Amino acid sequence: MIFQILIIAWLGVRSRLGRSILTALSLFIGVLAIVVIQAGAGAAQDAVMSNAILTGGRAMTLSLNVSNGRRAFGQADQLLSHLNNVLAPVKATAVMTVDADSTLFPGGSVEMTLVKGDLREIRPFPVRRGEWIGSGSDIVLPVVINKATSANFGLTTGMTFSISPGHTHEQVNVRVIGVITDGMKEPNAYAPLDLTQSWVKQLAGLVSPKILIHADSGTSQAQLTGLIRNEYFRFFDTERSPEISRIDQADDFAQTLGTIKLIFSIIAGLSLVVGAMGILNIGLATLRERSDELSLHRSFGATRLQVIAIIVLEGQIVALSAACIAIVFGLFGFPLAASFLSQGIEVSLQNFPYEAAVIGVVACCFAAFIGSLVPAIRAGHVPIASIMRL
Amino acid sequence: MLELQSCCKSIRLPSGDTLQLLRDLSLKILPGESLAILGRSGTGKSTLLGLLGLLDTLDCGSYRVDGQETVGLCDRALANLRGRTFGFIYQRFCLMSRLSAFQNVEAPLLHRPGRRADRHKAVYEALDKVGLIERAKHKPDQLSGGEQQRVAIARALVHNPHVILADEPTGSLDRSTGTMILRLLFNLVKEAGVTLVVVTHEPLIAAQIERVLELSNGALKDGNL
Repeated sequence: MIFQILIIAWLGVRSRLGRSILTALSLFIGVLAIVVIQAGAGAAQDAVMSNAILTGGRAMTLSLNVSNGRRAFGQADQLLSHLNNVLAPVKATAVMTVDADSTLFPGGSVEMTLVKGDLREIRPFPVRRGEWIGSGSDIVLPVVINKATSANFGLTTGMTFSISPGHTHEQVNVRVIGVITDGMKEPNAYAPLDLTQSWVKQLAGLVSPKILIHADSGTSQAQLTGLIRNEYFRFFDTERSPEISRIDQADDFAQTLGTIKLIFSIIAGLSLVVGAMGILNIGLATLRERSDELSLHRSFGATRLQVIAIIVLEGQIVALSAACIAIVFGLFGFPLAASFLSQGIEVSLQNFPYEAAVIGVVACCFAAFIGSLVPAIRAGHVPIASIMRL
Repeated sequence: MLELQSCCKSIRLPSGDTLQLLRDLSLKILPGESLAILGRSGTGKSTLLGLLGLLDTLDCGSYRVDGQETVGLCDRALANLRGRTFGFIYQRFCLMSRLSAFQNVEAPLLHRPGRRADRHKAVYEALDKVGLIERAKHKPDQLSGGEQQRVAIARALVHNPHVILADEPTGSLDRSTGTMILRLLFNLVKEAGVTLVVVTHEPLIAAQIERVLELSNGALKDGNL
């Protein structure tokens, strides 16, 4: 019987094509808005979050500055080993970085960072070419450059040349072993701290080594800070409080993006509410006009429930058609919009939000159901005998 | 067989007053019988027809359709009995203006299970009987009054009902078209062997039907002329 009711509902939609299209329009906009907002927010989130993680580290990353002094590097090195031992139970990782400042590469100045430990545990740089820093020889220092260095100075993996490290009068032979994305627009390079001892000695007293500590979710900032502070005091036997600060911005970005997404989702939801109101309005306005038709169906043997089903199904046909067209628009429009909007930031074009499309269809059908329910119930109560008085 | 016993029906007027249309009315209509209910406007003829066709409910009394008591039946049972037993013809045709003649005739068949091919065959046969097979795709506003009523007759007969209830079937037609429509209706009803109840206020139409009852002051009396 449902098939017959579907045919009657389809005839109803087709016979009022103009009205049905107008009704579908607001639902179409609502679904498209949901898909576009989810897609846009997803792409923006991917882009912004990945950038934030690359530059500031993953969520819950703290930075501990070891005061600069002649012995700072040695102390920081020992503290790093100690922290890695004591932090193991809370699944935290510590690495040491030294900002060696401007280093002269062939082509221009590069910000050089000397690293001990796997920095990519904290800042997960995607390797574009070659590999991340590992072991090297004493003769040639392996360096990894970022995309800006590669692009600006025409450097790529396998190239060997001499650099002049900042604050020194040395010439160091280096080989580019990898190109990475580190989220920075300025030229940057990374080299293993352990292979730059003579360089580091000359930096002593000029720059402070930093220890970056990242804890997996489950450890609060206060917990981690307290733990590091205690170990610092124990290790250095000092009363001077260490400089510990949170450097990642992942949570802040996630919260901001979440708020923006929520606001736009509410706007998309409102357009669906408008669509539902449209169906309700048209349904109520045309009920009088349609009462003879509905009475006829009752005289042919339709029950009240079947009349209600006819009206609800008409709404569902309109809603589903609108949603399907919106999704087709989204499927074709999303890559175009993403490529247009992605200039300057990396946006994945493949990630069409199918979940959002499903949510859009369900929300659209729900809106149509709500909008058609009142007219349908009223239609079910149209007195059949009224047809005798027409 | 249709059997009304001691039934009464009143309607509420817009002023709030109640108008008693039918009082202690009893009526028995035998299978295959043709009956005309004659009466002046406003005497309750259409209301009586609505009660007979299960479009309306009694205030009191009893109504049996083929031996089955209809008072107290649920909506589903009433709808089922109504769709299976009755075919309706209205004064103003009551065709669905946005649908074609074919779709209008098909409409009653959509409320019962059946294959599409069988449904279409039945529609074409019904349209053929009323001589409108060439106008199947035309919408009501592309048809004359007589043609529209022929579509309505085809629609009333397409699902093979036991009883045809016709409310002033020629009321919106000129005399010659009305005569032609009545002739067509009588022939088709005779051919199908179904019961026919015609409500009219025109004695000339009633005169063409074998049994005539006159409705006056809420009661029926023999109206054979």
